[in-house]
Amino acid sequence: MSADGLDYTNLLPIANVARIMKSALPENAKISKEAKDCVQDCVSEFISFVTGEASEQCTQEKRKTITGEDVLLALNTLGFENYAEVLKISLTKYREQQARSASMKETKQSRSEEPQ
Amino acid sequence: MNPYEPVEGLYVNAKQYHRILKRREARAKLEERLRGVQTTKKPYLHESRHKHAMRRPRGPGGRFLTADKVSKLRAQEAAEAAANGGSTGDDVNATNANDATVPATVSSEVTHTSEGYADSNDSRPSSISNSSESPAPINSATASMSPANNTSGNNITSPNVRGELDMSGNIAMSGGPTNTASTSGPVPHDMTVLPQTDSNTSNLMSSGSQLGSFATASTNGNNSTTTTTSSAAHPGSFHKGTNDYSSTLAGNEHSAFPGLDVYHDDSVSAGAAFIPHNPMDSIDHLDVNDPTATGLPVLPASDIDPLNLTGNTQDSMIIGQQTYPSHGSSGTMK
Repeated sequence: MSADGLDYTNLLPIANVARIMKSALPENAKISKEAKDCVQDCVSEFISFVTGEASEQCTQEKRKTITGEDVLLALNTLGFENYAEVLKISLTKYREQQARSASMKETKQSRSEEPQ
Repeated sequence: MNPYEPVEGLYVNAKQYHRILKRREARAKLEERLRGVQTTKKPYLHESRHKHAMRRPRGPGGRFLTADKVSKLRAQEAAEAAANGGSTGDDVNATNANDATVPATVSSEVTHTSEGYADSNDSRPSSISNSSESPAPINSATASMSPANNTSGNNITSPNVRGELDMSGNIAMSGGPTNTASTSGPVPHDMTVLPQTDSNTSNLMSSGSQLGSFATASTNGNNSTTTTTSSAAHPGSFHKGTNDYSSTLAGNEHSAFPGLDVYHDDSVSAGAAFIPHNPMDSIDHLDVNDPTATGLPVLPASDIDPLNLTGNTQDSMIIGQQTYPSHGSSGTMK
């Protein structure tokens, strides 16, 4: 982030990108700086590409918040059907996890109120 | 232009054609904005981090000191304060020792180590000088100086302070015979104080100022005058210089709050000394940003657009000199 709060480069942090790249490789593998920079540019551009399409669909429907369905629809529109299928499964798992954590929070709250 | 004439182009997924053109426009707009901003780019990203880095003590060459070294320096200062603690005269001597420490901290760590011996040498002439010098204004001024010495800003202003101390060293030389008669340092002290003189000389030469060159000449004079007692005279000159510096400040201010005035002078001089410290700011900038280097440039507009990554070779179009737009998933083949 820049000093005035705007991120002009629109790039993901390179350390996180390198960690994700490393997770798909054996432990003794090494990644050059150029490879990290290249993947950083590609990933950031892909995110802007898909988000732009999703944002345009939201604008047409007079909505301001981009939801998971909007992203999935954008991927289908752009021809990334395979990615959309995988992300649909991930979205379902994420929502289940959210529901589980919410129920745990309610349980903790009820337990704390019980002694009173 | 003939629309059916073959032209050089890049085949892409027809579904992505519209979005690719929009992304090109967005990248061009972002590039223009970046071009305007880079001309006024700041040397650092976060103001608070910059201030924190400027407060950290630095060693020779401008690198930050490690936590171990910082703790050692603080323990040494605490030991010196405990050794000098006691009567009022000793407190004055401790304050003067703090003033004498300022050039040592900036010059080198070895000098800071030898400063301990210099302080022990200072304690001997102070037993005589304190009997003739004990005015209240000087005590208050020197007492207020001690917290200012602890800040790194005072270290930045050390070139000016050292010049004044060395200039007043000439005044101390007039009392050379008295110091020589009253003080005689042991052999180990003589051995350890000499490197301090050499490092001070080299540091003065590196400053490149007229005051520095004048002080260098005076320091060399001290060395050449007497071989056996030069180490004893050098701490004495620091002691006298410190007193003169404090008395000068107290005399010039003539105010009910000499401490505040002294602090104000230090802050002003610290601001003035910010310019020669600029290379270290760049070093600090690099240190702060190394863990997360995100200053990479944005892809230029001429970069190759993303290809059909999914491998589905559906209807595609030529990007280049095409004039008619795409209609969803339907496209005209060349």
